[in-house]
Amino acid sequence: MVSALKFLVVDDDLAIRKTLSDVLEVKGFDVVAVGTGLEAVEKVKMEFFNVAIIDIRLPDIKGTEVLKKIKELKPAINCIIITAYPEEDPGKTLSQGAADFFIKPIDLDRMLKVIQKMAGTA
Amino acid sequence: MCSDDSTIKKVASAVSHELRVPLTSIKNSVFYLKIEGAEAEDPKIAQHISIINSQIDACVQMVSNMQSFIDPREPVFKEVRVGELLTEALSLMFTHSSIRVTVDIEGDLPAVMADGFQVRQLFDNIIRNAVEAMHQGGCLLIVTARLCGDSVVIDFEDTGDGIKPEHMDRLFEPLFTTRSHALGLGLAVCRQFADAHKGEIGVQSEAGKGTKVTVRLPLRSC
Repeated sequence: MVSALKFLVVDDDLAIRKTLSDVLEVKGFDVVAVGTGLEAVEKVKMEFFNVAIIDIRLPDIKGTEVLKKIKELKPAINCIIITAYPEEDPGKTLSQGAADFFIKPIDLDRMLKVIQKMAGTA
Repeated sequence: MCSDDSTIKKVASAVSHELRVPLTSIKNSVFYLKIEGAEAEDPKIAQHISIINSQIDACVQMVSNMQSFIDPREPVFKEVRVGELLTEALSLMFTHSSIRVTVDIEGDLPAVMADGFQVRQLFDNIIRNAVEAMHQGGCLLIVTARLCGDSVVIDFEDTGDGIKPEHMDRLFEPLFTTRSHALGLGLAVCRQFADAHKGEIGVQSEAGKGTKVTVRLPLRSC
């Protein structure tokens, strides 16, 4: 059983925020979901999170910028990048400190396995 | 009308994105229903969940192939386990209860330096072709992966319709298809990915008996 990790979900699409949050919550995790990069950075300043799931293309700042700021503020947060653009370079985000990279639609079985591994180190 | 290469690439990217976003929510919702036990309540519900998932995967595969063909990206090489990618691809594809799958992956198969997304898309395309070939009969897919010199060799052998001899030379030709509902980009993209990994893909087939697709991936191609 995975301990109750706390997640920050960052995606500008409301339906994705809602459905991904519901999946994580039903798996027993705590979830905070926001729609912009700046909101995400503010949340990270104020609250503790184990994992951040960040969409690359956000309406205000880039997801890679959010990743960079999170890693500066709280390096221990595991960051997972998600994108609906398969042409994005996964190597680039991984080298910037992301733990993993998922192309939408997300393979949730694989994501949950990755999270289980993170739970061992969180 | 403007139809230069960059416009076509932008349109392909936009279409892919516009489809992937709603498909993500649909797939997440179906996953939620599944873990909440909806499918356990009624076998019919389980069947419909399975149909929704396989149709989402078909849409994703179509846009992925279109985009890879129109705007191919360079592979990003990192260590990948072929066995894990095969298991993931087979588990997502095989909601077809009438098809028996036999998998034989060598236990000590070393990791391959490859682009995991491209190799997975390559496997998905081959497996989907095998499933489509077995709609009219035939019910066995044998997948084997073994070390052969400095490469991993994967065989996908189905007992489906097979391929007519006159079609064999055109299999990797973009937009060539014998199906009414396919784009005909799957194998063209498979060859593109195999070439990008300095690997190979080959097809042997006998009409009415089945098809064997062999993929060779060098352990280190970069």
